[in-house]
Amino acid sequence: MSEQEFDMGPQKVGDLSLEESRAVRARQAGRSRVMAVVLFGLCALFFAITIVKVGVWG
Amino acid sequence: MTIATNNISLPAEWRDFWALTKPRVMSLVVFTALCGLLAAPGDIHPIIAFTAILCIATGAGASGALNQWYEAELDAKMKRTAGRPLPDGRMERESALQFGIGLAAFSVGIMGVAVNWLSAGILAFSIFFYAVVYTMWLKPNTPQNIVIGGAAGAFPPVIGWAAVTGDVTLLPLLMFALIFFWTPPHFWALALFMKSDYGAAGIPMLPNVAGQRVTRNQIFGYSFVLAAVAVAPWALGMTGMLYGATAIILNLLFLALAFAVWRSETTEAAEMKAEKRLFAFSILYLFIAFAALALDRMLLL
Repeated sequence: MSEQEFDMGPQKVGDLSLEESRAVRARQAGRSRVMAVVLFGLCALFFAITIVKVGVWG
Repeated sequence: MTIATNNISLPAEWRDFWALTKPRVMSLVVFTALCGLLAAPGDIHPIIAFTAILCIATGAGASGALNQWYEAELDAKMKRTAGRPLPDGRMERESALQFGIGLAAFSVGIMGVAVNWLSAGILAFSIFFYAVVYTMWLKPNTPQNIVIGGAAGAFPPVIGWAAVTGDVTLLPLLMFALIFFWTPPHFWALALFMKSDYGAAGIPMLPNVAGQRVTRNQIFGYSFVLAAVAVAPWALGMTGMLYGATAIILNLLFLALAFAVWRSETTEAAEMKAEKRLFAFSILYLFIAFAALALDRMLLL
């Protein structure tokens, strides 16, 4: 692999400038974080519903 | 938002998706649903109760998103709504549609599987009623839009009740009627001082179509029907004196404020103090009435 593929710094999106790319990445990161929290919450909720339905918690 | 130099759209922020769900409306929906759930006889596991409320909130969010998707162009013409994500250009219209449909499917599906299918069915109908019957059909076509459309916002306590009992009896129907008859005076008070906003968007609200006098008469008239419906749960012996006394005091205040609106001849929005007072009080009214009803029933049960 080339050195460029290991570069984890801010990368340009398409033809956008570095500043515009940062704005896009920041929004994507914000949405990803919220999605992670939502999915984690749903996993916990579905687990709890299952436990209730099978009668472990009465 | 578009990056002008490249004509590429920025992805919408998560806050914009949150704004699509109309969080303030959702808070009232969650509260009335919770009161319906607490007022119902019988037991429900706290996890299932939480799931039911979550699904009702998500369903309300779906309705809000679908409403904003359909009304994006109308919203752009009104000051009150021009800053929403779609008219402000912060989000693609298609994203709002997909988000709304996704939330609706999720809320109804989880409600059916985790709680019961009666509450899921009523939830599905309420989303359909708000997004299709009210938003697409009634609102742009008739000044009675919020009278019939008010039913959409009246379902949450019925869904909350059905989540516990699996059926629908007279008390949840009276809770439905309470919101149903509360809606016209609440929205018409708003429409009186937002008349020009609704007029600019071409929405046939009663003040624009029938005039201020008719609207003021209707507000006062509906306030009497609301009072009768609000007192009914106590008069029919379904609640105790706590709710009865609260309902009587609240409705006397509501009638007094509605009377002030009826007497007023003001046509300038800036001078409509009575109308603004009624609108603000009507929100407080609903919170207190439902809180008292739930508390009273919890003490009785």
